[in-house]
Amino acid sequence: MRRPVKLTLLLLGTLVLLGGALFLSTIRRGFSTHDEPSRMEAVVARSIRHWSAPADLRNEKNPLPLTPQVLGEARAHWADHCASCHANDGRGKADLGQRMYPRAPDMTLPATQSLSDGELFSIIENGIRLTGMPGWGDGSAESGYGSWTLVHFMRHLPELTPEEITEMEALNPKTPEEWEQIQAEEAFLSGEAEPSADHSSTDHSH
Amino acid sequence: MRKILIFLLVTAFAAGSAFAHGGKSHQLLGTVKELHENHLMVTATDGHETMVMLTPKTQYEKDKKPAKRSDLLTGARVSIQLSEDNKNAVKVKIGKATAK
Repeated sequence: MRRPVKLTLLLLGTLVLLGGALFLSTIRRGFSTHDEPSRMEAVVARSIRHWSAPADLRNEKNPLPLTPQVLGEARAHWADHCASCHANDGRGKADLGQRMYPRAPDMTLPATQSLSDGELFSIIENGIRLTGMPGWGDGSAESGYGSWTLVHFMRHLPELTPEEITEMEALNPKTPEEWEQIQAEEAFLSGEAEPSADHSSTDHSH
Repeated sequence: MRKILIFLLVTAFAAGSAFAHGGKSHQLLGTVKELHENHLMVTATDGHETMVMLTPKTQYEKDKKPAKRSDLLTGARVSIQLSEDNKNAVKVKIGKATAK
């Protein structure tokens, strides 16, 4: 047998053995969403995310002019639909987003900001397979408009102000328990309610 | 072929071992008893006194609008969102002063 063939076979054999050992170790230990994605997974997932955008969309620019009204609509939309996983500031530090696999990313970083407008639009409209990102679009002009406004908002995330975040907090979806907590807090701060031991320190998940 | 594909998929999804929890923060309602440069003492509504650290990242809010550190005064009612370790104030909502 020729030397290059032997070397190739040896290399392949080693890879199969290493892969087998990894496979056995994985199924023995099991796997969960508590783990961090490996580097290889991240590379594979980002490639798939890139290919998932239809070719004609990949290089498309946002057709919607950026106006204060568009940004305001997107901010409200984001607070209501996206912040539960991505957080109001898009940094992903939300309870749901941090429990997903992979974690909701920090969208202010280049990994997201370097995506084209068309890729961001495609992700919002069509979602990303094997992640927690659902496809919000239904192919209608209305959903397309909403998604393009969100693309503008995602570009704005690195410059989001504390004033905007405060405005968004009022628009975030809330459970009945959270509403009760907010009402108790407001009553206390305004002086309408006397201090009550029930509300001195409470869990407040984000 | 199917087994190879499953093998490849499982291998691709083999993960690291880091364990991460989503965070839960706490809220503290009370009245500012003492105000210092880097911390404040709060008398919680259950009567306990708690020290809370103020950091440069602490945000302030009054009347649902962003406020400043200087808006925080002794005797004011406050709702404080604490960091996960319950030591630092992430956000301080400033209310009315407690009637004496």
